Amino acid sequence: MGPVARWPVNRLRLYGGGAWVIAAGLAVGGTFAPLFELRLGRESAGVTAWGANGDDAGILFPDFGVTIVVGAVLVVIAAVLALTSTRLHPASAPVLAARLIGVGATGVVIGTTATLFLLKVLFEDTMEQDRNALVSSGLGMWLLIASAVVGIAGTVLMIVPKRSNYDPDPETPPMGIPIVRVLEPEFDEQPEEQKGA
Amino acid sequence: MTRFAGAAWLLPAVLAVAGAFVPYLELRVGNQQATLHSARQTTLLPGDVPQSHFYWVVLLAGAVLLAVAGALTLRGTALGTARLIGTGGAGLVLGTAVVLLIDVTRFVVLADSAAHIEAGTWLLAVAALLPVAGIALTRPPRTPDDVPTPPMGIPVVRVLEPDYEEHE
Repeated sequence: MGPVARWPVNRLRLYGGGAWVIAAGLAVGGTFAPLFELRLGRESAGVTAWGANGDDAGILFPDFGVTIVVGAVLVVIAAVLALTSTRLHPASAPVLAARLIGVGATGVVIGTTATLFLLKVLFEDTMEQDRNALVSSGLGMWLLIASAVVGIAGTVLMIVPKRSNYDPDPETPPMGIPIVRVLEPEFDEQPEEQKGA
Repeated sequence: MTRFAGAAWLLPAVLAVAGAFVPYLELRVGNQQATLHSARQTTLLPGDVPQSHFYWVVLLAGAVLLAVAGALTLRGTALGTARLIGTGGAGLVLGTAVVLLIDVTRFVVLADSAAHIEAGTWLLAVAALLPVAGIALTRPPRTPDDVPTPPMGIPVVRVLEPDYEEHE
């Protein structure tokens, strides 16, 4: 395998990889913070992506956090590939792999976040008839939504092609274009006649 | 190959839409009564108002992205873009399907024989896994900058200088 051609650092992909790292951190953090809080009269229960407080058996809320963490790990893998390939050609294998893994994993995090948000809406609809019951969004839900937004931003930065500085029709400089003459190497070869003498 | 790749995107799109509306779980309540759970609603006991869900919105969004990827692949244009769009759609469907499948598993473990897995579960599972074939089969053409080295190597071109006949 020959030497890998190194290009100038692609800043868009650099920032995109950074955004994915932040998105993964927000997603994992969001699973441990309360997604929403259920209040029934004086009693309240915080619900995280790993279950509700006091519900160790997972009857009320199972471990949905598994999906988010798996998605976040894949986002981190994509970010590492993206950050280590900023000087490679856009069509190189690490860049393509980073884009594919990152886009898919961001989709998983967004899909899970959207479903959990809709689950919270379902709880609200169920409990709205009860005056003593209240469902309120927690920090975890906002962290997951922020993760989804930052993940989309990272995806856009990773996919958008860098604008080239190449000008196909440059203006002729005032003094004209200098003609560069490449000199042939000089060989000291003696004529055939002198060799025979 | 293009047809197979297009089908590998379009089929999970159709399955995801179907899985969004077909019930994925039946919970038996009492002897002859049961509740049906789908991504759109939970059909409660006879006489009750069905409880609406909106999980189908996410599945539908994923299915639209998969369908766009399928259409672009069948046209044979922008295959790289098609693969990225399809992968994003596949992620959306996978994330939603896994959350719903975890929910099904919870009911099966807790309710045991009272919980019955319905067709929607299998539709969502296949819709979540099939796009892997789409990713594998969609092969964008290599860019001109990425042309492999020919077997005999790259010939070195030497530009010769023009000959001048200079007279003193």
